[in-house]
Amino acid sequence: MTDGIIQKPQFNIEEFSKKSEDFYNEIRDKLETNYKDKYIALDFETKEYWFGDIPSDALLKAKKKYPDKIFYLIQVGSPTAFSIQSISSVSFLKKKCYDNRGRY
Amino acid sequence: MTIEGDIDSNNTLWVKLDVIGEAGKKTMPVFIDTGFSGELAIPLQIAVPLGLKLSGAATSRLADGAEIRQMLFSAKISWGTQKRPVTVHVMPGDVNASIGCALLHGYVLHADFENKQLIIKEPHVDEPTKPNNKMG
Repeated sequence: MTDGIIQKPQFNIEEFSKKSEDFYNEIRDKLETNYKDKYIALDFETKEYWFGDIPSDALLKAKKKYPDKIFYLIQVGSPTAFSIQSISSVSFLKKKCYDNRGRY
Repeated sequence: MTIEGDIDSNNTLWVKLDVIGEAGKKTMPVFIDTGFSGELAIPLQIAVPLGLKLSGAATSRLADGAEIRQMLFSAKISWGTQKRPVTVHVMPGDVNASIGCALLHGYVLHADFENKQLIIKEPHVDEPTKPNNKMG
């Protein structure tokens, strides 16, 4: 048995997301002019980013350079990276699998 | 490359996938969720023993407009005769695994609800190739 999917137990998803979104907002105009609807993997620490037509394309490019880093994914021009229409917040939060510090 | 699947009595579209993590592999039925813009979503109890590697985070919008933060994981799946990397959403609760529209990007989805036949193929490909991903 493995220790499962918990690879980064101290990872704070809220703080990570906010810093990543701040970086995205710095480069938003340039990206939305030239790369609308592409997926982008952001690294706010190095200020680098990688594009792809689908999420895994962008993440694979980022992982090729930094195999151990975690990246924030956005769809350029969209307020969120993903849409999940088969589940609502009520049912999701009822089954919530990470705590309020973003830990699984 | 052609993948064959099934359409059940509720008209839900299903294919069978091998999902491969750092610690194991599991063959599972997944339904095609056209309301999901990601690649693969699997329940937590299946994801844990597979040892999926944390690769990112993202914000997702749910059916009622609420936005949630989610961690993203990496896995590989069988996709026709290929193995391909995917980004995985791990879902809470007892839900069915599903694939979303990003995984179908670049493919043709042919759903024959009259004859309950499902085919996913690359554009301009007519001949099925083994193995298929039919259920059962």
